[in-house]
Amino acid sequence: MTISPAPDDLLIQRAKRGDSVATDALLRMHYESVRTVCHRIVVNKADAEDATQLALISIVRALPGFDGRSKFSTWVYRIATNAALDEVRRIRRRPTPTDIDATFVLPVADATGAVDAQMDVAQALALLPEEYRTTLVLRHVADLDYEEIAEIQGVPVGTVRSRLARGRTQLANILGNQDTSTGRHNPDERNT
Amino acid sequence: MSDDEQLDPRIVAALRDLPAASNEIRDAHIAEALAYVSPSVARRSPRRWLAVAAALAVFAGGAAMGRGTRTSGTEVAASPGSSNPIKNVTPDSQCRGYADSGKVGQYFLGNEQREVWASNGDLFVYVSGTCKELATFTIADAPASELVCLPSIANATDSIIGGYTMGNAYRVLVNTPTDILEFSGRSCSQLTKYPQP
Repeated sequence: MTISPAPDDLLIQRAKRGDSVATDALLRMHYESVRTVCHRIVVNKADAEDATQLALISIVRALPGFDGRSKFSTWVYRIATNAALDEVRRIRRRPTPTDIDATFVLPVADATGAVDAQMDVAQALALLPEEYRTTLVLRHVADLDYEEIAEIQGVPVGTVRSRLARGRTQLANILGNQDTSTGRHNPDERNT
Repeated sequence: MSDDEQLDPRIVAALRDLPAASNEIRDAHIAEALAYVSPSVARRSPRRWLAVAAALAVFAGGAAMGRGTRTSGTEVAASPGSSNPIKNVTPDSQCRGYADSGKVGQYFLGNEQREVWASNGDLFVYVSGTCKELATFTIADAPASELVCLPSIANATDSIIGGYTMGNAYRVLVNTPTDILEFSGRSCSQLTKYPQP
């Protein structure tokens, strides 16, 4: 019995050999995932688009070296995350404030303490420390498991857990919605 | 996944609910990335390789001069790219499509993309896209022959716009927030500076 490679695998193999049609198809398949991760980590829209572009370029340039040890989607998310974090660092060096810095207004909960789901959660996310924000994005936007996030961030799984717990709690506090978390979290990042 | 990782589904939905990119933006992003597939441009690189690329451009300019390949007018050597190639640089902007003109490069001032052209002893600065002409500068004289080198970039906000040959001299332009600096591509000495238009 022969096992045919998944369509994604065939595309990857062709793309690794420099097939631009296959590369185009792969980029289109993963484009919105890359873009969403970049937007949620970078926050500022124009800068996030820049990060998206850099991530796509990095994916193309690194494709020949993709060894299949991780899932392709995980590999793509790692590159997108690194591109987004590079952009964040570049923004920090920039003397002018970003749009989000200039215009951010804390969300206000209504009388019941609930926050309208339509509010700009992305802005609240921007207030989190970078490592919490990135971890939350990889878990809840990219839908990666602990081990994959740990691999991407180069930290132990325990650190991923604590970052998730802390980030989730802080996000809930910012949004004024205490019910978004069970309240359980690690007191510190012992595995860092 | 363990139950300590629950996040309000409304928040999760909001985090994932990013409006899709327009077809134009998506296609432009992918087209730019695909340019790195082709063997002829596979060594094009993002900004981290800018200095190397700029150095190559300087050498290319010097080599072109050495071979005497110039024709009349201004010859522009291989551009090292924009100051920030990921900023959705307009790929084939032709604000000055005259035969005697050469595009030196492009850069960003704030969010405005600009491009610099050299032609017949003058530098022209345009707004990319609209091609609004912002300024014209007379190209400064350069000392004759020294070693080929690359001007150092003193600040993170500075970037190399590109290089070009004028007469028998190779020049390199550097973008700063307040000025466009012009260096000799041979001596690395600063020849002049033009106020940022």
